[in-house]
This record gives sequence, structure tokens and C-alpha cells, in this order.
Amino acid sequence: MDIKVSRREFLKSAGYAASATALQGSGLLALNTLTASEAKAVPLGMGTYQVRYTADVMCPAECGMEMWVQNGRLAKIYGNKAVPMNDGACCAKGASGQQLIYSPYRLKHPLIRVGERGEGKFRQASWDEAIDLIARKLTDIKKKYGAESVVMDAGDVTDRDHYHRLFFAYGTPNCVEHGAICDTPRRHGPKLMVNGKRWEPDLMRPQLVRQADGSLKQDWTYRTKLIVYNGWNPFVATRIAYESRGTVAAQQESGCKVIVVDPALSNTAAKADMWLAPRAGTDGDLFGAMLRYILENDNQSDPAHKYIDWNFKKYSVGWDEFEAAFKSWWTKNDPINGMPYFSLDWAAGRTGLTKAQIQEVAHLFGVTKPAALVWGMQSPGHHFNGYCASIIGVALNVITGNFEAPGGVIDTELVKSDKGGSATGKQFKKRKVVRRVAGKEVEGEVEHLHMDAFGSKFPAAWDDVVADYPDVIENGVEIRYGPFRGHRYPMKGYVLRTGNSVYTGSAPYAWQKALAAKDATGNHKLELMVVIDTLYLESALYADVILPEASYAERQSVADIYPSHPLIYNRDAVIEPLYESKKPTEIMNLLAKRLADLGDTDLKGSDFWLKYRTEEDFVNEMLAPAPGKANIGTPLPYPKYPEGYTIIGNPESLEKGEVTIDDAKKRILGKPVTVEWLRANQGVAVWPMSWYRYKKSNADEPNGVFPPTSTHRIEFKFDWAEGGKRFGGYRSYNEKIEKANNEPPEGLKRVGFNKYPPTFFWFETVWNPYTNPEYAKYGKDYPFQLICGKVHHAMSGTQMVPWLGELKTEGTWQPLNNAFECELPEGQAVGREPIKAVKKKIKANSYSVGTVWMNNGDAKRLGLKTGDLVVVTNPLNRSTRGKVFASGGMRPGVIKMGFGTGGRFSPGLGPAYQSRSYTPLHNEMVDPTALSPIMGFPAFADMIVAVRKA
Amino acid sequence: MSLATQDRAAERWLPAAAADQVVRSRPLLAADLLRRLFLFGPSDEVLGLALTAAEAPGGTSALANAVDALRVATDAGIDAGEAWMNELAVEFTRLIVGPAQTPAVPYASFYLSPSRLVMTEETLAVRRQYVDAGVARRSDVRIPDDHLGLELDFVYFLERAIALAQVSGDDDTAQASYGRRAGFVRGHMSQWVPRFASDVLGATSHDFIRAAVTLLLVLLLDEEASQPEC
Repeated sequence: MDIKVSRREFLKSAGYAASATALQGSGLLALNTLTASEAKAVPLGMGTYQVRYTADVMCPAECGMEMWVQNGRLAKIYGNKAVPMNDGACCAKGASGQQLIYSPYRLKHPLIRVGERGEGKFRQASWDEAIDLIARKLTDIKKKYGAESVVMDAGDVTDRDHYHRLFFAYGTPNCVEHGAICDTPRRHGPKLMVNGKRWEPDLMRPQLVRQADGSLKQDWTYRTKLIVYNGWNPFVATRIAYESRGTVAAQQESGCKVIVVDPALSNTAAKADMWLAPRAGTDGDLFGAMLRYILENDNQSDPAHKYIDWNFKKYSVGWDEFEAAFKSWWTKNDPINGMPYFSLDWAAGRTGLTKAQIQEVAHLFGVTKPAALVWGMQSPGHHFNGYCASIIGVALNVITGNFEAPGGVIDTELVKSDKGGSATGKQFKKRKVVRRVAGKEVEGEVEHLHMDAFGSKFPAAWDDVVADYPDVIENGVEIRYGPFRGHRYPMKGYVLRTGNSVYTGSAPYAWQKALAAKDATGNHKLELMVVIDTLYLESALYADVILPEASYAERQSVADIYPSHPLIYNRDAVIEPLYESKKPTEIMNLLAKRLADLGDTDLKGSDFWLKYRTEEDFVNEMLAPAPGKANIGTPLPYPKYPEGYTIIGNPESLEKGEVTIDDAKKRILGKPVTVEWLRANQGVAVWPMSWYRYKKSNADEPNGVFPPTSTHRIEFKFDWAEGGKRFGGYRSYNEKIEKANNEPPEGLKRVGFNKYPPTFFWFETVWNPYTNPEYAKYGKDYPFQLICGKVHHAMSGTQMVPWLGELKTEGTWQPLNNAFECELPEGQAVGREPIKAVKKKIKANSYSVGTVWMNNGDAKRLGLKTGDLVVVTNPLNRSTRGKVFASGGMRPGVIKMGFGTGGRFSPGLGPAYQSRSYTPLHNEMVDPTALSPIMGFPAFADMIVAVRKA
Repeated sequence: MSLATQDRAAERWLPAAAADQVVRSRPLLAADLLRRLFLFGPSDEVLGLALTAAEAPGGTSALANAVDALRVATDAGIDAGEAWMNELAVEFTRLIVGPAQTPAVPYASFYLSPSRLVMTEETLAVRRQYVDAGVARRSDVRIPDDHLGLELDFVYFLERAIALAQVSGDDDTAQASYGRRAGFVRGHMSQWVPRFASDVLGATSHDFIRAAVTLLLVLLLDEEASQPEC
């Protein structure tokens, strides 16, 4: 039979069968008929508002929100007054949530790639087909290469636990998140020395404080007298909502002085009492000089020079060794300028600041109390040697007595509520697995297969090394440490959820090359790439399958961004998911079930679809360990309970005494925090604040609980033995190296280390002709240092809201557009009328776009003026284009571009996509091989460039 | 609409026929085809309905012509082989599904609401019309009520109700359903579907999609097609 005739007859049969279904019932496909009572229950309009408490994810600040829902539709958005992070404030981003949630351009249906990766050609698919395709591929990869060949990357929102749980159970330890490409060098000092992460000023207000009479009071007192923000820009770029208003409030109410150290006149610098504009990448130089100055000039008998609070030694270990190692550099001369390290002259020569400026900031920080030294992602966080600055930063805060002092600095990671618990699925990493290594069967645990923790490059990368994936995709993983030493495996699957690593995880060209790379048989080296998201960003162009996830208002989780004391709030689902988008719980269960159906016995109903029948089940398990913090500090949070015991339970039950005390485990157990409890309590649980959490409440001695280091003291030593035991933050990594015949990791080798140093260390950054002799030769041809910084209201989510995007911010986001046509919502509603969208011709220079921000003197020398199109090139022969914004608010010799603001190549981004040919893509300039030696972080702000008119 | 017109509308399906014949009339097959296309995308069922509708009785000459044009495009696609079906799926996805910003948006609220967002008062107004007719979005369907596929499902439901009522001699129901159908199409769909269709037609040269969108306009909006048969 003619095959086309056969096909035609088959189709007619299909059509005939389809029409026959209309004979049954109502004949409806997507609608159904209602009984009279059902019809009455359908919300039709003009109903009353339901107020739901949730959290914002229009940006990563995750402020507490009230969302008002009418007839199933999100109608109004306000700030939640009960959440101290934002204290009821709701910024323009938060208020614009409907623009994203109800955008007709959201991802709506599962899609399967039909063109080449990067081409952006997809076809619509059913969930069944998409899940089946993913599950079959995952099953195949697991059989052929091992589950560890799959990476789950959960991007940048806090509800990653569903996906991590799924993939831990599947058998891969390689579940990562956004922190890996955020600012890991910045976190290093806190992690190493107190087992924490982020040090922030004590500015969150109100604070719930226990009073002498036993009552609790909301305390609004600001105590901070000095803040030094080094490369930290809370008015524009950070996710800590209380820090901007808190800075202003401290200036007004406690006379706080603010010093901003930043090559650019940021908005924060504009509000500062002193702006210091050093060369890029010299943060550690400044900090080192401050520390040396304080040590050399401390005079305990002169109040005007009493810098050090020596009581810190009681709560720390290893200072003498740290100080000796630090001082050992004072007698060495720096080859770059011939001066002894950390002297004022040395620092002046390298930073470009004057000796007097460095001396003044060191003196002010030493003598002013309470004070906070804060270093940001735009400084140590984005430099190859940011670790050194981060470690010195911790030392400066500790020795001056500001750590945990009222108005001082707080490690927010150590004091925030626990969450996740067994829902995270970390227990699955303990499963035994067998791999054949060098011809022998070796048994170990799933976690021993982690590509970083046991890999050949960055075993101390606590937050994983996402920026290394292009290399891993092309060249595979070598396990160098642990039981599987010698095992090699490829990266074959990449499941990316709400992140955009192709665009933000170091140089996009390296990602694009790796994702398109094929083996000798013509198959992609990376066999499966899945993107799960609400928006269509650059990474999705390379996906084999795109799954539409419910937007932040349609899915449930919890939030707790960097508080001064334990609190946790509900990020409730306030409306039903639109289109075919699904909640993380649903996606997790669907994929787990399909994998199980395909024979994967690691995925069990009792761990997934039978256990979590609703997302609330999952979130309740996440909340179970809250707050999980010890009853410590001054004032003691719960004086009626034993000091030092871990507190678990909702604030109400703890206040009422509805607890059991487990002396064996030293735990105080109240009634658990649940979704139901949060909903009944304005969405938030807040436990009391205390300070000096490292000491007993009634005695000047350590409490043996805080900080959670190997000694429960602040550790200035990182690896040492004492009394037959070994201690320190680097201990476990050095032990791995020793067991591996002392073979050092590749990252350390790059800076000449064989092991992780036992105390203070120093090495230079890369691509910096002013501090590293290796790069001095480039200084003439590439006279500008290139730095970057976030423009939060221009991030991907908010670029979907044109009236947010068009507002200018600092020099990196200015109205320098070419004329274009676009449909834009009006900026302001009139009365009760809804905001209207109108098709507009946008005139040139009226809509903000990413720029090349440079000093006006530099521009003049190059014959450039604001608005000129320039080509920016680097020594790696990469280039990008953008328009100049020339101003005095930039250190000469430095250029700044917004991070993620230009060269957007996803067609899902509206006006930002339209301006891609003349807006700079900063990451195109990043050296993809310059991953910092300890945690493999991209050197986002270490590059030199030349600029010429296009 | 006058009672006489409603009567003529009722006559559109007379003389009475078996229910099976009713659902296999050209207008209902065309409506069935379009709702499936916009709800689920191109499929074997959609192509099959295009072939079947071309051979079915009923409807106006304009409708017959539009259906036949779709049949011709379908035949050409069958002759072109499997690649054509893949191209059709990709082009349909590009035009109205995503993931990039689509040339046409299959939601009434996008065209009718000042904000150009979805889930607006327009959506709730459509939901009210559904409930007045005794139907609602299925609980497992999360597409807003004013999606083109859902609205076509509603139109199909009303067309089918008209026809079946006439078969069973229930003229009151037939007239009520006809009035409801006319009100929905003329009062609502005609306000936005032409704009949607124009966006699609302006963005594609794909014969099948162009023929399908033309059929959509004829089925819903062609005055002659909306007149009952005499």
C-alpha cells in the first residue's frame, strides 16, 4: 500500500475517533459541566480579599509580603509588617509582582528542543512526554556512567530542597546552588574561622529582645557608630533589605559614620561620610595595612588609640600563630613596588589611595566602637585572592571587639533559623555505592563521588564550582581524594532550575562551546540538559527539555535572608499555578515516580509521592528543625530554660512553657513551627535576639557552643594538632591530601601551595598589573581595570517589567538606548484604574540600558563622551560593545559594567534583548580559566581591558 | 436576535439526525479541530479532523471553502512526510507557545485589557459566561479561562448543545444555546480573535497554520457562516 495513502487513512481514523469522544458526556475537553451548587462556588468577581503572607522573589531579597487575592487572582501586594527584614516596606520591584506572574510571556508549557542547542527551536510537549524523556535519559546515564554524572543546579532561590532531595536520592552528590557563582571568596574567612558565612552590621530592626522583667520587646535602637562598606552596596546591589534603611537610620539616630571603599561612586558611597576609591582588586591590601597599622599603633593606655579589645583571646585560639605569620611578611619586600608588605607606603602604592587615607580609615575603625567592617561580593567576593581579604576582615572585626557586639557585626549564617532538615535528602548521600577503580571494586558513600569535595581541583569548595562545568563537560572529573581515588567520570546530565549559568557562570562562550561539544559519534558530550524555570533566560536556549515551574506566588517554601537573630517566614502559595506550570513538589514527585517505574530502585514512593502528597507536607518537614539555635547570648533568649540547650519549636509554645526538655541531647522541644502556625501568625516566626553569643550570659568565659568550629572558639589557626587530636577549618582537606600521597589539588598548585595553610596566608590576584608582577607587562596596552556590580532592579526577573528596567541606576544603567518600539505598561496607575500597556516609540536616550561606566577624564583623553559606542577588548582577544557613561564618580583607570545587564541574548527578555548589540556583556571579558585556588570561584572582577571608539 | 432568527438557527440542524451524525457535521468537526489545535497543539487528531471535516456535510459554502483549504494544506503536509509535521509543531510553538516572546498571544485579556496581562477582569468576565451556561474550567486545567482553546471548547459545547437539542426536538434549549453562543462570539470573541489572527497571519507563511486561522475567523465571525441554513 502507498505509505502516504496509509498515513492519510490513519489520520482520518484518528480524526474520526476524536470526534467520537464528543458523543460521550458533555463532549468538553478543558471545561466541564457544573451542578447548581458547584456553579455557586465558582469565584466570579467582586468577592472579598483574602490576605496571604508570603515572600517576594522578584529579587533575591525575599522580603516578607502580604498578597491580597480576590477571586483567585493576585490583586494587591504590600509589605508584611511582621517580618523584620523589610518591616512592612514594599519596593517597586515587590509591588510589580503581577507584571511577572501574569506576563503572557512566561514559560507556560513543557517544551522539547528540535533545533540545535542554542538555536531556540522547540516544540510543545505534554508533561508525560517531557518527564518520560528526562527519566529515560537519566536512567540511561545512570546505567552507563553512574548517577554522579548528573549535576543538579538549583540556581538562586531558597526552595531548592525538592530538587536536591530528588537528585540525592537518584544517587548523585553533585547538587549545587547559586552560591557557587555568587561570592564564595567573601565567605571564606567567616567559614574558616567561625564556621559561618556572611558578616553584616547589626542593623536589622526591630529586634525582639528579652527584657529584665522577662517580657519581650521590639527594640528599635540603633547602636552602630561606624560602618566600613568595602565593595558592598546595600542601596543598590544586595539582597539584605534592612541594610539600606538601617544604614540611614544609624546615621540619623546613633550618629553613625559610613565609609565606603569602592572604585565607583555607588549610591551607598553617595550617602557616605567618606568615599575611598582604590584600584580594583586591592581590598586585601587595604585590610592588611589596616591590620598592621592597628597592631603597630594600638595603645591600651590611650583611649584615642585603644584599638584592640584583647579580651578576644579568651574566645579564640591561634592568634599568636596568626599574628606571627602575618608579621613575617612585614620584613619581605614586594617585587611590585619594593616596599615591605602591609606598610602604609606599600598599601598606598598598590591601592592608589594616599597613606593618610589608609591611616585614617584604620584609625577610625580601630577607635570607633561599635563598628562593623563589611566586605562585599563586588570586592573580595569577585577577586582571585578574595580569601586573604576575607580572613583579614574577620580578624579586624574580632580583635577590635566588634564581633557579636551590640551595633557591631553579626555572622548571619550562624544565627538564622535552621531549615530543611530531613527534607533536603542529604541522608541519601550516605548510601553505599560501589565503583570499579583501577580494576578493583571499591565501596564508598555517594558523597565520596562529589566532583569538588573529592575531585582533583577544589576539594575545599564548600559551595561547589559551577564555573568549572564547561571544563568538566569537555574533560570529565577525576576523583583524587577519598575512597574512590583514581575514579574518573564524565558530566552527562545537567538539570538547571531557576539559574542562568550560561550567562552568569563565568564566560558565556566557554559554556556555549561546552554545551554544543560533541563526541566522535556526533552526540553531545553533555547528553541531557534540562531547564526548569518561570522565565526564558539564556541557559534555556541550550536545554533539551524546558519545564515550566510555578511562579513564586504559586509555589510554597520558606524564607529567612540573613537576619540578626532567628526568624523564618512562610513563602506561601497565594494563587494556583497558571498554564501548565507545576510546583516543585509536583515536579519532584513526577520525576521520582517515573524513574521508579523505569526500574530505579533508589527512588521510592515512601520517600516521595506517598510521603509528600501536598507541598505543605514538604514545607512542614523543612520547618521541623526550626529554629535549631542554642539558648545563648546576652540577654539570654529564654532565661527559664537551660543555657546552651538547642531550641526547637514555635515561639508561642516556647513562651508558654509548652516544652519538653531533653537533658541527654540538650534540647528544648516546643511545638513545631508549621505552615498552619505561620499562617495564623502573620506568616512569620521570630525568636529573641541576643548578643555576645560566644560567651556565657552570666560570666566572661566561653559557653562551649558558639561558634560551631572544631574548638567552639574563633579560630585563627586553620589546621593543628593538640592532645592527640587535630583541629581547624582546613584539617579535613589536608587529611585528604595526606591520604592521597600528598598530591595537592590543582587549585592550590596554581598559587604554589601543597596543602591548605595552617594560619594566615597571602597570594596575589590575577590580571592585575598593579599588584602581580606576572601581569605588569599588560598594563600599557590594557590600561583599564574592569569591575562589575549588580543593578538589582535590572535583574532578569525585573527586566521582564519594562517600567522597572527603564529607571536609571548609578553609572552602569543609564538612559543611553537607541530608539526602539516596544509595548510598555504605563509607569503609574491613575486612581483605581489598572495600569495600562501601550505601544510606544521609545526615543533614543530615554530608556536605561547597561553601559560602560568610566571616568570622564579618561574618556576625554580617549576622545570619548557619554553615549559614544565603544569596543572593549581584553588580552584574551575577547571583546564586547557598549556605550560610554563618563562621570567623575569613577576612579581613573577603572571601568565598571553592570553584572547581567548587557548583551542579553535570550529573546525572552523584551527591551533588554533589543539592546543587546550595544550593551556590554561583562562576562564575555572574564577569563574562564581564572578560577580562584581554594573554592574555584570565577575572577569576575580581575581583568584588564582596552577601550576604543567603535 | 429575533425569535425568527433563532428558529432559523434551530432549523440549521434539521431535519433531525442521529447524534452521531450531528457531531460529524462540518461545523462541529471544524470547531472540534480548532479547539484541539489551540488547546493541545498540532496532532494526528487535528490533521484527521481536517480531512474528515472536508468530507462532512453541513455548514456554509464559506466554511466549506475554509475547511477545504485546510484539507489541501494537510494533504500537502502528508505528501511532504514526517519532517512537515515536525516543522508544523515548531512553528506553532514559536507563534503562540514560546519560550521566546510570541508574535501572538492566545488570551483574550492580552488584547482586551489595558494592562496587556493575563488574568484580568476580562478573564473573570469570560468565567462568568461559562458559569451562566453551567460549565467551568476543569480543576486540573490551569490555563486562564480566556485562553482561545478554552473559549473554543465553550463554543463547541454550545454548538453541540444546539444540534443535539434540535435532534431531540427541544427547541427551547436550542434557542437558548444559540443565543448564548451568539452573545459569546459576537460580544466577546469577535473583539479579540481577529487581532490575534492578524498577529498570527502577519508572522507566518506556514500554509496549515494560515488555513487554520482563516478557518477560525470564518467559523466564528463570518456573517454568512453564522446565518442558519435555509
